Amino acid sequence: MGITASLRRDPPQTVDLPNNTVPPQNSEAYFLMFGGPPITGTQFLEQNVFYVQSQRHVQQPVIPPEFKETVTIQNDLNLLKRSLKITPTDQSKYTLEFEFDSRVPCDVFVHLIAKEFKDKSTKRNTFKSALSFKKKFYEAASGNTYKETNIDLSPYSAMQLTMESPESFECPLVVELRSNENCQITYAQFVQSGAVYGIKFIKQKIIINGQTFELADIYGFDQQEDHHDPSEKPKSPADMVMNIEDVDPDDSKCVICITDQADTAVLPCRHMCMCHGCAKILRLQTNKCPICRTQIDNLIVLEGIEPVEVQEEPSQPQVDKNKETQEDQEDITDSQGEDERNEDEVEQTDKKKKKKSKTRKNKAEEKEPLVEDANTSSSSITQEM
Amino acid sequence: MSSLPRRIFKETQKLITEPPPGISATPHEDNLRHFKVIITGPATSPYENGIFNLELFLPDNYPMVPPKVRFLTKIYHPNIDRLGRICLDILKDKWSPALQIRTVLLSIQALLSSPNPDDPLANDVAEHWKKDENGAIAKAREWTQTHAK
Repeated sequence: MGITASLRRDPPQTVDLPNNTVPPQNSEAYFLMFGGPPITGTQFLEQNVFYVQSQRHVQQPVIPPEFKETVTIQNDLNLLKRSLKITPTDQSKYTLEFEFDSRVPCDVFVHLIAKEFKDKSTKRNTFKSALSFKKKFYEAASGNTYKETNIDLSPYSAMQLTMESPESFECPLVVELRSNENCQITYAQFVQSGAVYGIKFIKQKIIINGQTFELADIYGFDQQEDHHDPSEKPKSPADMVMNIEDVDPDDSKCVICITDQADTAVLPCRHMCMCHGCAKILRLQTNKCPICRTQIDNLIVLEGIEPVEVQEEPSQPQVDKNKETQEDQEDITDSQGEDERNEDEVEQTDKKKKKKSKTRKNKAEEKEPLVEDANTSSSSITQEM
Repeated sequence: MSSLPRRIFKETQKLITEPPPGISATPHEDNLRHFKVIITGPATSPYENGIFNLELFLPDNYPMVPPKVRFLTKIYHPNIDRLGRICLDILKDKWSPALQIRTVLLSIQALLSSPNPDDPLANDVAEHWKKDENGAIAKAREWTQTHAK
């Protein structure tokens, strides 16, 4: 377990303080980490250090929400959750299909009515299931398709099939993509529509080097994707309506300066609505999300998003260029432990999880100190693991 | 004036090129944070056909704080007092930096369509509104004809 892991378990104490002071016994230590190696998770505050220090003399009406560093995680396996579907063939027999991308060769397991166990010695998640399918050896490729025909759902009760509690109980459908090191698990349930069953996505998580991350979408990312990915055809009528309308290029901009590319997401509401510059200012003024006014717990800067180049000519839109640069962006970040579960959240968008994380890191290094911090922390993970 | 934030510049530009229906906002030449605003009274409200002048000022730390807006034209409205001050949540505690001049002015326009005497600023007007709504509406219409020309 690396630094970030301990951070997750013990969130920085300042977050939970009832009053506005910072515990003095810790505040000295915050400076150490820039020089020597970080000592404990709670002291690993990075970007916030100087704010915290300078704020001590000032009466603050609210505790500024923390910036959490993001850590880039390379996800080698990804099931495209929107491609998940079942179609009835005859007499309670169904065909299950989905697409997935894999950067490494992998196995695919499908479990029906599966209960999950965590093997403590191997740190692997295993499933006890009523029915399992295993397909060996998919080559590394994007757009792999999986198809399982003649799945008989009749032995199972409607209750079993429509259950929605993947962790503690039996999950109706589990898809595991498993490479040598990593694993992505997709949980789904069946939904009754008339006499037949359809399928409904519940959640996804990835397990990398024994660490589990739950995947979650970020609001404000999809827009860009629709925008930038003309090859993706809208699937539902609602999507089409969205696309027919002129998309305002300002939509992906920071709502505060309306100038820079939004790259900072608010937790827990996951609205990616600000650039990191404005987020820095905002956090000292308010602890409410600009979009939904939910109290902000943390802010996370997503490295992969290219900042809009500042132009002297304000009338020239930079949209096209941005479209290109964002096309390849990866959008997984680690939101480092704001929750009590032992799992960590990984923010992602639907489709692209595993391209070019290397490139992204290099790009990030050229950028802001904020982002460099994230690199620092990810490298410390690597060292410790 | 040397450093007008790009946001304000952009907002101003858009207000001029694509003004919302029934609303115009133009900055004063000597202070680009100070706007002359005209809102036309919404149809089917007692303020219909009225032309209301307002002033809007963007404080230094806008958009972290709301703009200051006030009616310059006399108006008979339970949420607007005789000094033209406006009782509107987004101009106070419900302000969010994601809101803009445009959205603020649209909200004020909406406030004209739906006066809220239960959260009054002008107490006498609100009392009138609650006791005798028709009479109050008639008075608002009369004021509109007299003052909002």
